Amino acid sequence: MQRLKKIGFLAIATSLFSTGFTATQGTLGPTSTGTVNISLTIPQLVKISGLSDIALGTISGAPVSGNTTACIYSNNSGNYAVTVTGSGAGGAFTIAGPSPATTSTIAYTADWIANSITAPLTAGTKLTGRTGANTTSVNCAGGSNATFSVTFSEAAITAVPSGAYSGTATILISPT
Amino acid sequence: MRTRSIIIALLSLITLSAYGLVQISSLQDFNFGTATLPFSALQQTDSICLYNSANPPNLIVTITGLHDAAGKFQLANGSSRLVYQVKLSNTNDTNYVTFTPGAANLRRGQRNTPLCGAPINRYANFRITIPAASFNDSLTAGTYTDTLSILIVPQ
Repeated sequence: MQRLKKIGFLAIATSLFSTGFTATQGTLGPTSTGTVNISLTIPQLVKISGLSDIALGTISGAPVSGNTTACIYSNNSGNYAVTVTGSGAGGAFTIAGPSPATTSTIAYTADWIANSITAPLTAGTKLTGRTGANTTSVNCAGGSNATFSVTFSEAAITAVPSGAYSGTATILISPT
Repeated sequence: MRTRSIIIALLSLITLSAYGLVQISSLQDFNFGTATLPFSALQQTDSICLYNSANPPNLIVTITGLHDAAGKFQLANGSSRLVYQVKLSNTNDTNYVTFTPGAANLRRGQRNTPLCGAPINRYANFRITIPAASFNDSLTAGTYTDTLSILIVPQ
């Protein structure tokens, strides 16, 4: 049995605040008017939620794929970037086993699917230019708008001893 | 008879009244910086000088700025808006009135000196509050701003 666990991650990036406004004072007279400026900066915020583990069970053929949907929120006009790191050496996309041993690993490929675009992921490399994140609800009102998909090839599966394999993929969402 | 006429003429020449001169000063910008999670209500208060040479030094204050159809002040970041509140006390008290855009309110100033000077009891409190409820998921990242214009006239 192969099991892939994913962890959501919230990333926050701040934008620097700067305005050139200055309050103006009123003058002495039959009426007097002054002005003040008010400013507040909302930082760039993103959130990933709604993830599920990918439990492929006992496979009967190859290749085999699994996925989980996710909710991505971004107040950066729905734009974001995603970086996925596996639990293999150096963050590689691999799972280890057979349980309880971790002497063998099975490599997998991963894709990020959002806004009708399927993009292959490279372990530890930021995939920029993602769009379609929810901009009005941090939990997508209970829905989802992205899919994280993994695929194990026949060659990778047949090269290792039988048993249970598992690993973790860490998914980092950033505003840009 | 001749002497009395001259005196009356001189008195007429120096008749000049400073009654009803007003001035608003000591205004400062309100910079709330960058909001941090978890978002909560933000508030800043500034001491401002409201002068009226009249006795009593009562003033009619009108504040205008960006607002929605419901008459609530708004900060803007493009088309994204964020509601805030504007309050002003009388001079030397904390009896706040919450202003709505363009609506006149009676406030008490001071008549000591136009620019108030050092004693803090010559100042009124001008308060900006951003309620926690103003922060919502739909706010686009960026800087939200507004400019308030504060007009004072003698009562």
